[in-house]
Amino acid sequence: MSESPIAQQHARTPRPGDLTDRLVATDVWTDQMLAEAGIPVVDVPFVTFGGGIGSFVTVDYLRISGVPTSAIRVLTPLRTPWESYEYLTTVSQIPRSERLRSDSQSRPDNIWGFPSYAIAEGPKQWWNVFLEPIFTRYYTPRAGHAFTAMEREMHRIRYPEMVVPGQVRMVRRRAGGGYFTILTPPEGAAPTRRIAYRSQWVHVAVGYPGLKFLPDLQRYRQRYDDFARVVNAYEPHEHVYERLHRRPGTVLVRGGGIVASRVLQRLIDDRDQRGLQTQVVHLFRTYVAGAHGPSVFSRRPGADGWAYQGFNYPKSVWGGQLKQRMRRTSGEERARLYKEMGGTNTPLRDDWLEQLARGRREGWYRVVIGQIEDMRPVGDLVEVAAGTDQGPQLGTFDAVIDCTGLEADIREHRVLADLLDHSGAGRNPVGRLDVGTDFELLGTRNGGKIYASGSATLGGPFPGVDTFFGLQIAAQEIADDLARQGFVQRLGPGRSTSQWWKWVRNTQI
Amino acid sequence: MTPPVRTAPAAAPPAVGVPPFDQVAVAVVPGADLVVRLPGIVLVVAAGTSAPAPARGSALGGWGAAPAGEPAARPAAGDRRAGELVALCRRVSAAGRRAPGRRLHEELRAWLPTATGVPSFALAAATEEGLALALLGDGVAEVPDLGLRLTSAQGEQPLPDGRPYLDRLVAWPPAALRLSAGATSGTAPHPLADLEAGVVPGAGAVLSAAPVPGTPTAPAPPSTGGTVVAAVPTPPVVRPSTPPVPPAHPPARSSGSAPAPPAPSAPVAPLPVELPPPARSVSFLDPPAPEEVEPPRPPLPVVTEPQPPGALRSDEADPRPRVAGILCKNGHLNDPRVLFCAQCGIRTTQQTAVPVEGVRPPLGLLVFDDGATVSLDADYLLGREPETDPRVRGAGYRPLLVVDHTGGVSRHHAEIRLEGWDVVLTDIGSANGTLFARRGDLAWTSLIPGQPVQLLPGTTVRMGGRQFTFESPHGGY
Repeated sequence: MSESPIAQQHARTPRPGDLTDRLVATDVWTDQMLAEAGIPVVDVPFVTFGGGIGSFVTVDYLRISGVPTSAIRVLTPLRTPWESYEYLTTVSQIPRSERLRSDSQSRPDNIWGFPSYAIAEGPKQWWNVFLEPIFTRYYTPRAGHAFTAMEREMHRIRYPEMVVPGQVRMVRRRAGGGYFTILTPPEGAAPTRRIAYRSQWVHVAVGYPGLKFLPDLQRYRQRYDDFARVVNAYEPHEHVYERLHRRPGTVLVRGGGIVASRVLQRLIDDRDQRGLQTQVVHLFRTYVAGAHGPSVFSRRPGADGWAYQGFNYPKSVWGGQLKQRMRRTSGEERARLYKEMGGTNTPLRDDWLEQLARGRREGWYRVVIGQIEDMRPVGDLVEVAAGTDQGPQLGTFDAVIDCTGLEADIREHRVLADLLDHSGAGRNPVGRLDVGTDFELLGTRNGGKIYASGSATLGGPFPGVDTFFGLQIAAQEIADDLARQGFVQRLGPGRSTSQWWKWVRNTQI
Repeated sequence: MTPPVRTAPAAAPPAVGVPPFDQVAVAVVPGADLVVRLPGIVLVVAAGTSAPAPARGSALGGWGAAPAGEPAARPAAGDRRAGELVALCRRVSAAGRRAPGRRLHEELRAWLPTATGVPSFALAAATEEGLALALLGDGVAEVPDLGLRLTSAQGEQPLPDGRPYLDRLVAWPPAALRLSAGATSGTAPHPLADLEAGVVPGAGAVLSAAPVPGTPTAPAPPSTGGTVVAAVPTPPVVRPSTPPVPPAHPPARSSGSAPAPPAPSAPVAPLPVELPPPARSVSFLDPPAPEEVEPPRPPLPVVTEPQPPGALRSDEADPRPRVAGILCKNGHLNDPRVLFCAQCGIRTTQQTAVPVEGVRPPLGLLVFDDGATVSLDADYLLGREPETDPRVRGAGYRPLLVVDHTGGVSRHHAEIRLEGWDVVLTDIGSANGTLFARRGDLAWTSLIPGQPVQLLPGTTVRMGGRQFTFESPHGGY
């Protein structure tokens, strides 16, 4: 690998068409300023960047509503819309064959939600969706099913024609209306270092700003340079299971969310299928002993440390009375409601319950309540000092799997920070980007609109934005708002029906 | 039978350690007796004194007329016994050279009553916590600087036939110990004289051992037989309460006439062995010595420029290989292909991938079939005897020993190189070949010798009867 030439290239050789200090410091740009900096400008009415499932669902909606591919550009470093999502689900032990925690009719590839995943999967699942959740557990689709369906839809709407690879550096308002979105194409793909996309509408769908590994994990890594024994569940950690296969060991699992459930299931599946002697110690920070909630009407079951809930949010946020209630609130009240329905939880699944009950009975699954205070490598093991409800404890483990995937602050994302600093965007009561009911980024209007959807907008009038169904609702609201501004035709019953048939027949549009 | 005398450990702080016996200098005093040094044992045995001279035959054909006077040397029965004694010492020394003293005591107690005509001897042997002395006949052990003297007549248990005999366990004296078999000699040995091993003529042996300071002595074990633990009659020798301060320079040789116990000057001076300097008592209350006062340092400069991010902070002096990667928002170096930072978890796709050079983090690890893991932070050479390869000796490869009982692993089997952010496996001409299978493969693929193959996370490699899997937090999933 040629290492030095790249570094030399980077050594501040001014390349044509780069940002100037003046541009970076100016909130509102004129066309003249970009021309002076030598940055080429591309005109396109609608730009979405991020390029994940949020961008995909929005583009899908617009394409079905009749927007030509030439009017949309997707600026993204991702190869496929689900690349980032699949990475995270795979490493957190939801490979394609396992089930997601999503509803049957929340289909990113099908704006109608019909036929749903369950119906597509087969007659056996049909009954399940009729009987859930009283007589059966919720149906959830397999990850692989979602990805293959999205791939089919991606080609049907000619999504690849709209993709421009590269990194978005910033979005700035344009003097005279519209926005400039600055894209950095990959090395060598364009003659200039930056390209500006001049558009009337911009859609921000950058997803999770990132994971945030807990400080003790980062500290351990920096001090001991050991990436093998203390791992986060959101990073590849197959070697932990591999090692337990070779040699019996004790694992410390931390966290109480769905990822902790999946990691435990993987550990116990391995134990059962391969006849391993893995011992598991599970560290809860908050131990949920029973059902909890402010009233009889909003309660969540809980037991053995876990809080149980079918989906990320109470089901009523997608269409029930909770959705209406949230829409009317604002400020402190909304923050309180978010807090009330928040909290880490995991779905009730029979196989997990059975495995953990067996582990408790046979003694190889033990629960500790507390927090890790210090970790250090001791020989081939990790010594963990934990402050627990039983006082300080010290134990050595073959591996520590941290299943707490704290989301980073939105300011951690450079583009979002730039929107806050230079484009007038604000924060909502929960601290994320403040959007209105039509998912417009409040405070950024400039002869056009900036929309935002996905996890970065959590805390808005509609909860559940970081779910498949939440992304679809956002796309629908954005398409409706664009229709009001004349960019697209409203999707009426006639067009909707004919488009649905095209979807069924997989006709390219 | 004397009950073993125990010294109260609290009263005598164990300040003087036991010097390693074989590092003690043994100087030979000129004379006609024999000085024997074996590992763990120093023996001085009188030569040919206790046996009568053989009758000289008149007819010694061919030798001419009998010379006048005594013959210069004659074979004596005592010398035969001396040979047996040396053989016994040699045997005991070979059996346990570190501390043969107690064993030697027992063997001598068993052997001496059966042997008549044993010449006088003085013997010192190492024990775990001091010295074992044995004196017979005219044998003397003395510490001239301290005025201590032991003779065989002081022994508690003479031999059954009435010969005086002393065997004792004593502490190391803090000055030179002199052994002799009765011969007196005024000439002192040369200060540099040192007998490391062997049998040489000499009137006596001077063992000069400076005590090792600071090593605590083990508590005295209960004695066996008639020996008395650390019961040397003259008290100052045994466990002095303060460690003697050996002089910094070889002391001027003084006759042992005016011994000054706190500062003994060894008659045989400079030691050929490097002994650690004595512990100096330090009071933290006293003001420090002038040479220890550090000059005041200038204040550290105020940092005004932005610091380089964490991954680059390690300076150029870091010997680890460097690699071009991208920095995450928080300044951690990463593989340009990853989506999330391996250090902190932040998305790396959110900002322009600016390639920078930094110290390469470990690229992953090998999980062997016995559960052993090897972190890949350098190039490795795998095999049965990897350390014999010139690449290991010269080019910075690390040897990775793969033990295989089926014998299928060659001496130099394969190498694993880190190239940029990739891990590359090459078979370097092994006898039985190397197989690999990527995750999900149903069959093994054979590696062509000399042709590198990139290890992806989840790749399993098989060599001989062993196999390992490569896993990595970098580079895809």
